Amino acid sequence: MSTPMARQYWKLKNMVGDDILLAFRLGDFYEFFFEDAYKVSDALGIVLTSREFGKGNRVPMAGIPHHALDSRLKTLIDRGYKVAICEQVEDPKKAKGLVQRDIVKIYTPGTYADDEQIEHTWLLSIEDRGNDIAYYLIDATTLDFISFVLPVSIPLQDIVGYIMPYQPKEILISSKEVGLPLVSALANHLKATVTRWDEGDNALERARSYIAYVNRTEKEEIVFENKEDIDYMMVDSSAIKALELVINSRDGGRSGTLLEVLDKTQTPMGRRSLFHRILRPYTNLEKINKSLDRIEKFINEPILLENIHSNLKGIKDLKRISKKLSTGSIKLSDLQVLRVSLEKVVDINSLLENSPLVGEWSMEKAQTVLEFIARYLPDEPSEDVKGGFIIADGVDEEVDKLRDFIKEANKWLVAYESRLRDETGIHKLRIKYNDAFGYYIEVPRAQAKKMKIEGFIRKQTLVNYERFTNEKLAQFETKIKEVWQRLEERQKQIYSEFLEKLKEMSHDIDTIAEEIASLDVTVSLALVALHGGWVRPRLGNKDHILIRDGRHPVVEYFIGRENFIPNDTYLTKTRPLALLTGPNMAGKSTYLRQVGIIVLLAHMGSFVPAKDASIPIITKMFARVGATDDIAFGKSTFMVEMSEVAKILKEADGSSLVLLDEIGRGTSTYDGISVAWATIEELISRGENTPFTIMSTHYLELADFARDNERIQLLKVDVIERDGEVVFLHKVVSGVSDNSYGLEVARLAGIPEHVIRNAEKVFNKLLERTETSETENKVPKRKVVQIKPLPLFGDESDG
Amino acid sequence: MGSVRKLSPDIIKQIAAGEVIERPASAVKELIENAIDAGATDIQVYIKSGGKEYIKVVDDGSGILRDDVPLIFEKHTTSKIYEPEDLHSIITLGFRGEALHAIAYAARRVVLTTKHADEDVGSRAVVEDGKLKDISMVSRTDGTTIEVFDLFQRLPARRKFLKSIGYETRKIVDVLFRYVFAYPEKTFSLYVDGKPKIKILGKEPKDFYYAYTKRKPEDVNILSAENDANISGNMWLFFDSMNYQPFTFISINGRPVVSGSIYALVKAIIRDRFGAEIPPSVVLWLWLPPHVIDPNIHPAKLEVDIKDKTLVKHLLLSMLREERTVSVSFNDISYQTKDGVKNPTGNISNDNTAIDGKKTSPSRISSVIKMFSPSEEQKQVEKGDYQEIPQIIDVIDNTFVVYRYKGQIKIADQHALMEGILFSILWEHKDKYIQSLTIPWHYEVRNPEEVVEKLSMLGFESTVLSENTVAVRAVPSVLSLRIWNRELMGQLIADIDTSTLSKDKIADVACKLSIKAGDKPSQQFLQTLVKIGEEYPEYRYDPHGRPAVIVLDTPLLEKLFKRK
Ligand SMILES: Nc1ncnc2c1ncn2[C@@H]1O[C@H](COP(=O)(O)OP(=O)(O)OP(=O)(O)O)[C@@H](O)[C@H]1O
Ligand SMILES: Nc1ncnc2c1ncn2[C@@H]1O[C@H](COP(=O)(O)OP(=O)(O)O)[C@@H](O)[C@H]1O
Ligand SMILES: [Mg+2]
Ligand SMILES: [Mg+2]
Repeated sequence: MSTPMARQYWKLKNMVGDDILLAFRLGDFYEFFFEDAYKVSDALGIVLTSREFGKGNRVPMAGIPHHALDSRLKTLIDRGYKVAICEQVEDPKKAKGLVQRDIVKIYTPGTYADDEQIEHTWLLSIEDRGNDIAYYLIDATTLDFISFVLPVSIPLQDIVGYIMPYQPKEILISSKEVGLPLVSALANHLKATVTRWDEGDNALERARSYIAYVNRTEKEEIVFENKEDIDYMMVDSSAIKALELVINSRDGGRSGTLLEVLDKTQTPMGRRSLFHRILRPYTNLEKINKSLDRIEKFINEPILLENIHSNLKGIKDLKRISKKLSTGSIKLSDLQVLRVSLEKVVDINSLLENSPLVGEWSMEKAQTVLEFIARYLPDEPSEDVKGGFIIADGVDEEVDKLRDFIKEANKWLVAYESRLRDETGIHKLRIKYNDAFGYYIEVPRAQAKKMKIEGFIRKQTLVNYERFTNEKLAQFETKIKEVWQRLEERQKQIYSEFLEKLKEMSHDIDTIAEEIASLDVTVSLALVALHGGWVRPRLGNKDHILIRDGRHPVVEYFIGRENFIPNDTYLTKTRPLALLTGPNMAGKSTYLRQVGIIVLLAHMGSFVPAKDASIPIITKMFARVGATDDIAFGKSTFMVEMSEVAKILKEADGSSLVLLDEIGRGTSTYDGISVAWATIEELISRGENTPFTIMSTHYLELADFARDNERIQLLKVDVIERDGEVVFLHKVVSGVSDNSYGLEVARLAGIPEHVIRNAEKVFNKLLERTETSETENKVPKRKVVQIKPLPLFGDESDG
Repeated sequence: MGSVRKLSPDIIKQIAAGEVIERPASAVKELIENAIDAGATDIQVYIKSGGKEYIKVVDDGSGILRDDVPLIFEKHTTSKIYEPEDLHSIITLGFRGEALHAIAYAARRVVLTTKHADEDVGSRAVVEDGKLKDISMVSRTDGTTIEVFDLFQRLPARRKFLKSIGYETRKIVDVLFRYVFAYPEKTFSLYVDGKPKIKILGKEPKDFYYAYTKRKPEDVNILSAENDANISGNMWLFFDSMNYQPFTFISINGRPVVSGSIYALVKAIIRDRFGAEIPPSVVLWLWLPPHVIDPNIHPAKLEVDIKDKTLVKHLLLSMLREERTVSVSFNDISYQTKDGVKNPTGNISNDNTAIDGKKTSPSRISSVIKMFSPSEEQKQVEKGDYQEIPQIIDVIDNTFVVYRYKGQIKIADQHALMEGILFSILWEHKDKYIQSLTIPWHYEVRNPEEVVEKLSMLGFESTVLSENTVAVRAVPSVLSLRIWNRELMGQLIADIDTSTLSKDKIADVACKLSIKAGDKPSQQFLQTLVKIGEEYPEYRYDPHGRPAVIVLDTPLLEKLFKRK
């Protein structure tokens, strides 16, 4: 079955291997054969056909029209496939025998970003280093990377917790990592494809050669940039989850996250940078204050702020374009986008220059790059390099001459047409052109008789028209075609010279992209602060966390500011630990999250939702809030909580913030209380090194233990009971809650009335039993009262 | 707010009756006023479907006492006046105790959430079909929220009378801005279908100007004056030579006033002071002792009667006197006037120098005079049989074409008229008539095939001449009047070359191709334009439906001169 084409196919297919689909270019289609054809037809729902592959041997085939490749590719890659694109690499007209084909690019889930994509596509490259494991997250389209080095002993759910927010789509390992259980666990959790790649000595080098391989370029072209900052706050993996910073706990999506509320960015670079800032807030006071200063200046110039915000809008992904430029895959249309974006940058720069923010960002290079491009390219060049107009007038003498010639020729054509009209007397005679026929003379059929003049040759007959040609027109055509061809060649030549020179500026474009990212984040944070009435936090006083009228920015955003009850926080070195009690649904978890988010925002260099905030530099944040049973990891709630507590006891220090929700639940009451109390005692015994801590609990007994300890504050979320109604005031005040209203909440949740009544009886029986033994905390006899459902959610209101 | 009581029958008799809630904007107005009366500093308005479906007003004012909640939806219940005498010293915006009742009566459902500063828990009340259904306790920050669902559900006649969502929304925007300008120290915001529509981010005058016009003023004057009769006023004057629609916002004792004698007086004084050249925009606050004004004259409380208007006039004049003005220029300190001489204070001086340093030319005035005294020639025309040809009398500011046609004086906005005509020809294919060109015009384009196709959809005949050239052979026309020329055509082609055709795009093209306000086309061209406009009255609207020609007929003049 060895036709030349089949041989060519197999050569390429063997090269990429079984787990990469080969899209084989035949005419206007990309065809897939054999197994690939089944997979593609299944994934895309396209028809499976067959094709002769050597005499009498039909093989399965499925094809995608070339113009639909981009959209179909996305589907295939989302399904986890890798696709190698094979193109014809020589001009069919010039080819002797079968046209040469080669693989021009391989698309894989971890290295692909379509033109619309804003967020990073991360490739996770893992390296086993014995005691540690290194995790590198690399974006093949922006060449940014981030790394973690974590000890082998760290629990799996922690690793997932750190990696999950980045949602890498592909994991790169070498043979050494093949057996690691965490690889398959990560792949499962992230729904990522695992790729084995052995070329390169370490995780980073391997990623580099892999990216070069899929892009079909040289390894030298791939130069990574470290996104890392040396000093950033360690946000514990469970805190990332608990505070719902970038993914929500409901469906793992972005809605309802801090990112969503903060994100008013207009550019892909800005958005990516904001994401990064949330997960890696600063711990450097200078950086924080610099960011706060800029935001403050913007807030004092609201018109400027709005103008810049709207001007940022047109700036496209400069970073990705710059990487396309430096790796040689840039298209003419990208240059157009680059140009329009740079024009915006120049506008923004001049707005900034006449403002109090002059000198904060440097984007002067934009003008130079723009001028350079404008010198070579016309304002609106042809769509692709084959078009007639890619190089501007005045760049090259020959190009200008050729164009002049074409202009003259067109004039001649018009004149010639009117001469023909006069000669033939056919008023409607037209000279036209199309790609298939070249030039022709068209006359209405009814008048075609008049064309029986010597020299006209009939070319084609249509319903209403007849088309002719003659020698003169044919000559004209040959000549003008020659000119066009030469023009095309010459323009291509100049174009590639131009690209070479432009490539030298790709570093400048990167810098501009970084500056725009930073500006975009600042503008976004300033807008949020201005719209939300946020204040500038004061940072650096080591002795306390003080928040007056703090709010949870996300909850507030959803329920409306007027419905959110602001709360204070005051943790000091002498009273560093607060124990929060309150019934279900009172707002304990919200309060814990709110404190965590405000502290985090301050470290991002952002304003905070409060009336006043004074916050020390916090280097580590631990938070476990809300129920998160990690059944997937085969652990119970209690087990997960205990490993978190263990970590806190080991790592938390005097500049840490610890937020623990419902500590001790998930096991029997006495176990829970005892472990919780022992933990509290351990933490507060550390003097200066006690972390700032807020813990919430259901166990009123814990509060009893804590009552006389002057290093512990007792807080409760206030509730009032009046006329048989319970109202959650959501106000945090000092004191201990006396009732957990568990039964009331049960009723609210729809448990039938008779079950509630029965529960009431059981409750009172239990109470009688304990009352004889313990008398310290008198619990009143129980009668279930009415709780109104929270109206905020019951209504058809809008936010 | 004090406690709510039912007004006595004698007061009720004295209160100007009338329909309070006419449309969603009136409900919004009432709710905003309530918020202001409650001392709110932050007032947020949310609407859906122009307020027809949903209105929410949120304030951070005093809130309502739990015991008062059941009363406020009743008729004639208020906390603002108690005795008949109180009517002579009204210091609140509301006083009739009618608004909430009227809203609750009309709407399908009203939900109130409020918490009074002196109480620890808030209340929530639901009114359905005009009846109080339920009151419960809730948590809330101090203040009040009122939500109105389906405002005129129970008054089908009213509902039918409502206009489009866009129109009702605009009315609400108008209402909001009146309060924005009357109370610059408060924060107002408007959200339309969830998106912020009005939000004044700064507190300086220029921020307000920007919010309303989306422009930066060239100069701002802050003026103030007071006199012994306990009358005082503050004024902002915004100068912006590019804004052709200066605005005027006036409030008296915190009540926005949008018409009536005071409004007219202010406009007249400003016009007097600054001549006919684009006058400044004005924001004016007047403070008078409550007893000299009567707010109880207009059913919607939109006008205020002032017993002694000369007092106000003197106040205004003294405010505008040079020495009392404080000038603030936002451009920069070295603000240069046009002729390069520094305007030392930026003040309004007494000669003819306008704020930008240009001499106020008397041209505008003289052209008006000319308009009404037709020349000999024109008189001739009127009598004769040329009656069909519109006669151009004058062009004001190279923008408005004043002409006479069939005995009427009309004014056309040259840009809008041309835009309307082009749009109708291009998009609506009105009375297409093709005019062949003897010598085709050819143009270099990027997508010749497409351009030919698009042009044919627009009524042009053209062909592809080569890989990058098209030839235009015939153009659509009206009344055999030629409005196309080679250059105009080139612009059109450049425009459609790289974009798809859509109504918006064509409107955009029509706009771009049209002469602009300030352009100076030939007399003949203008004549052609107005002629087409006269022959085809339906073209006399620009693509957005705005009129391009107005007729100075008796009804309009009467309106302008306030004879009616
Ligand atoms: N946003 C609010 N904050 C505090 N109290 C309010 C608010 N809205 C209404 N009220 C109370 O409800 C009462 C009735 O309001 P309503 O608007 O119907 O009457 P009014 O304002 O007294 O008079 P008018 O009909 O002229 O507006 C007010 O007098 C006030 O006591
Ligand atoms: N400060 C607050 N103001 C208004 N509503 C709040 C506040 N805190 C919490 N809530 C609302 O109360 C509900 C319960 O809060 P949550 O923190 O989960 O309670 P808990 O952890 O005590 O059971 C949430 O739905 C939230 O919207
Ligand atoms: Mg909770
Ligand atoms: Mg009122």
